[in-house]
Amino acid sequence: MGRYLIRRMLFFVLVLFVVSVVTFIIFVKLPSVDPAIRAAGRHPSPRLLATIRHKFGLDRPLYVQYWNFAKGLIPLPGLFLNKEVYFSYQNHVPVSEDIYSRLPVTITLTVGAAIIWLLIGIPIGVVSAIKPRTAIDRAGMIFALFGVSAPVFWLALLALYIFWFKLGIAPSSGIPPGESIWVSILKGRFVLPWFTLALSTAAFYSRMVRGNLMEAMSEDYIRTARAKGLSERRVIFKHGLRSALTPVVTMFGMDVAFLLGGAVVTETVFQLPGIGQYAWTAITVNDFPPIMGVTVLGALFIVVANLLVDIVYAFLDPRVRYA
Amino acid sequence: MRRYAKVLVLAVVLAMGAVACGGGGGGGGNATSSPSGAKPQKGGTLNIAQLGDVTAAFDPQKEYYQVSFAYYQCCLLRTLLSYNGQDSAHDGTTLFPDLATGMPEVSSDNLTWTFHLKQGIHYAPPMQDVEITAPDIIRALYREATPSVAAGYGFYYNVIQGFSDYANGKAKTISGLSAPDDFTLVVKLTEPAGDLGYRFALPATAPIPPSPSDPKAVLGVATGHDDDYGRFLVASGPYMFEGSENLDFSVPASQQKPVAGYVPNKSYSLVRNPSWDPSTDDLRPAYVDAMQVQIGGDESVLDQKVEAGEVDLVFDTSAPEPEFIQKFQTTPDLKDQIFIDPTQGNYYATMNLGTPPFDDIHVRKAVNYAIDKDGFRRIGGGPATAEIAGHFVPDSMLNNLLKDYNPYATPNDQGADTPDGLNLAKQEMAQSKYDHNGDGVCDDPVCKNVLTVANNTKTAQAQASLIQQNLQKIGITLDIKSFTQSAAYGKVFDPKNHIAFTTGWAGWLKDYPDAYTFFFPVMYGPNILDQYNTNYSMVGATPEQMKKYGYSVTQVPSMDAQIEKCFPLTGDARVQCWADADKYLMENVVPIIPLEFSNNITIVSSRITNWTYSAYNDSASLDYLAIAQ
Repeated sequence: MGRYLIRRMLFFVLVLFVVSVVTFIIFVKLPSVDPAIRAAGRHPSPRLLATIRHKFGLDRPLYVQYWNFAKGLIPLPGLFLNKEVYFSYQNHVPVSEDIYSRLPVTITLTVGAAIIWLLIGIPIGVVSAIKPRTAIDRAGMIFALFGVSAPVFWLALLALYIFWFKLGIAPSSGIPPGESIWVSILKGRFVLPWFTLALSTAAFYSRMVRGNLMEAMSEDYIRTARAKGLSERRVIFKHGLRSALTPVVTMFGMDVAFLLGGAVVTETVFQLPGIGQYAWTAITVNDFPPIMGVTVLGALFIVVANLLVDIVYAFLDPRVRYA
Repeated sequence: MRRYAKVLVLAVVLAMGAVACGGGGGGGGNATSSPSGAKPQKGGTLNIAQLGDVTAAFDPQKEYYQVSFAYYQCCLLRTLLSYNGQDSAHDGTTLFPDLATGMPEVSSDNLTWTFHLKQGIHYAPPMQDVEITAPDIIRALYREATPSVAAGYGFYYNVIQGFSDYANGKAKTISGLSAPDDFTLVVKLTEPAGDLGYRFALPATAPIPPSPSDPKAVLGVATGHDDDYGRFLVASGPYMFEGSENLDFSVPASQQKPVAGYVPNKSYSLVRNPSWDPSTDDLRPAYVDAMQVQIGGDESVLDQKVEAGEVDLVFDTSAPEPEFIQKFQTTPDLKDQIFIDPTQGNYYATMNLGTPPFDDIHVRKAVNYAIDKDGFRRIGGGPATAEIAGHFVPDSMLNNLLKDYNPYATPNDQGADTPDGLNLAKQEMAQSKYDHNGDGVCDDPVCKNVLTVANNTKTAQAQASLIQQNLQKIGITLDIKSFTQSAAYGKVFDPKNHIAFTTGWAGWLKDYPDAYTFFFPVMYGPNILDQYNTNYSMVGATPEQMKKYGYSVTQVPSMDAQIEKCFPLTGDARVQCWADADKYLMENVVPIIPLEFSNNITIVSSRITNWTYSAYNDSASLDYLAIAQ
């Protein structure tokens, strides 16, 4: 297990390196407007441009510029997203300040949505699997098709229109200035974003659980369990579902990690000041340090989630052992 | 161009889908309007939504953006001179004394301007005991010139003696700025500038208080805040950021905590400035007690929030969604809640004078006749969104001297989409060296695949297609390359790219109500830059510049003499000079096809009991908005 963890850590470093290089190259090669010129306003004198380039570190060789950014990706105090390099070219606010202040919103959104999609997706999948080709199964299929094919931005707008604008039973978008995240949760401001974000994933999970469970229920060990006289409920939930959920755990880790890197559309439509909205704002104005910070943070979440999933795997599936 | 950001967003106005044609809303043309009919009352909190934050975190020396200028003017900062927050029909573009006791005294040679400041005006907390004095204005200008600050529009102050030398490190002081006493500011210029008063109404000149820990510090309380003074802003207007009283300028800048009421990219919270004395301020009624601003969100949801009354208005540079414009214009209960007002901004297509076939003035005139401006506007949203333009500078900036002037008028403004319009275009093209057989259709290879840049939004693409079809009728085929708005500007701002034509997605908006802010950046030869060149028709480029940028055409027409003639003038003579320059531009240079003078469209909640449009800010006057109690 120790060697496995070391291997994974090395892999983790490699992934971060590749992601950071690609992001950096995209920024260096494809900017629509030179960040220094953008910051200088009109009629910038050569002296002013030189000052700004120096301030942004854009007057250094490319490898130095990259190294300065790369250092800020090392997850150690004083280095991680250091303020000397990781600040917005737009408003000079340190990236770490913005990310840390926005992370609670994104975590709240992600965790709430994850709970909902598990609570919806798994039961529907189980019921569909144990009652295949019944009306319930067909309803589950319709739900899955709708959930998977409906774009999130459309769902978000639809949900707001129906439940807030027309029926008035849900709060509208946004968190008023000064309101804490706990108060926002209590006031139900996350309910529509949670369900909107959860729907498509829940639909996908329901189909995955259905397929996996149906396959598992035809295995020999299930027949053996039944032959031993175990109740059908015990057979399904202790033996069948445990096996069927193994790939779901993998997906769950990836999905949660992906959303922690920012649910761009949901946060934008629901006016939630999270990481996704921050990333979108930075992209629209070509503000590189926040883009780099969020991109690598997203990669970090995914790599760590993968690692955790692999470890959990070993406990869920006794056949899996890491040497 | 404070307006770069604005210009980008102005495209959104045109990017709207079809909007029902119809008359203006409840407020067009009125100084103030009350949707509910109630008399404005003081009090309450105005709920504002914004799609995006300001561009430089409220740093007054850096911000160069319509939205931030509006917050400064109405609410946060007072300047020597300012505006009354009304529309142009009610002196909204006229300068009034603000911190000054009266209009400046100007010497007979127009080189010395003397301002006298009112006494007894104090800053917002925590500097409430500090009186605003002339050295505070000088401090602001030093900050605008300080290289490490990297300020936004120092070029407006280069006419002040010693300003550019200080900015370039050649002098230790700005010799043209002095304060003989605490309430007198003397400004000495290197050359006459008839519009200097407007420049002293820009937020870069708003006073900065001295540092309590180091009264001799050149930048006062902004010392150590080269990059973030906006979050430590000391207000002088009727409002301040919430929590300003907790700013502590007695400790080093690195230990100071920013104001709580401004969280970049998230929210603003403006509250009353207890130091503001309405008896010293004739320009701002400041009806509401507070303003809460939330940043971000989807445009259509924000419009719904306005209709539902959760948000009082969306304060941004884009128009409401087309379906909301239509709904508010046609629903009896809502029609008093939409306001359509003319901005001092325009849209135009450009032709590069250095790129054949546009090196031939007859081709340029033929193109002016050919484009269907009415169709262009219809695609962009119809008459509600804009007036059709016949010349360069918006009419209200020229006192309507050119209101009916359109040298390339065609029936119903439909260009080559009408037989008469097409004939006019062909007659002009027939005089061109590129129409070899004289049939009014260009038959020279230079008219084929003309390199054109367009915006890639759906509306801009449709408008580009319309122009493409129009020009085909006179033998010009466009090779259209489409980009995002930002990337498109990146292409045309580089003179080495030889972009021959743009399709009307670009526009301009004033910095202040003087046509200088149109002609100087867009049509003045000395402003042609290697990068970020906003004169991308190359008007007035020298032969050396044309060679340097790789053009085969090296002689292009210039507007420099016409523009320079206006610099020293003031008053009506100045306006007439700009109007003459506009006519000269349209008849003798013809680098553009003027398409539209844009409108501002705002919808407000039913809570709003008083609406006023600020012609200076090209937006709602937030200090005039009142809400039902």
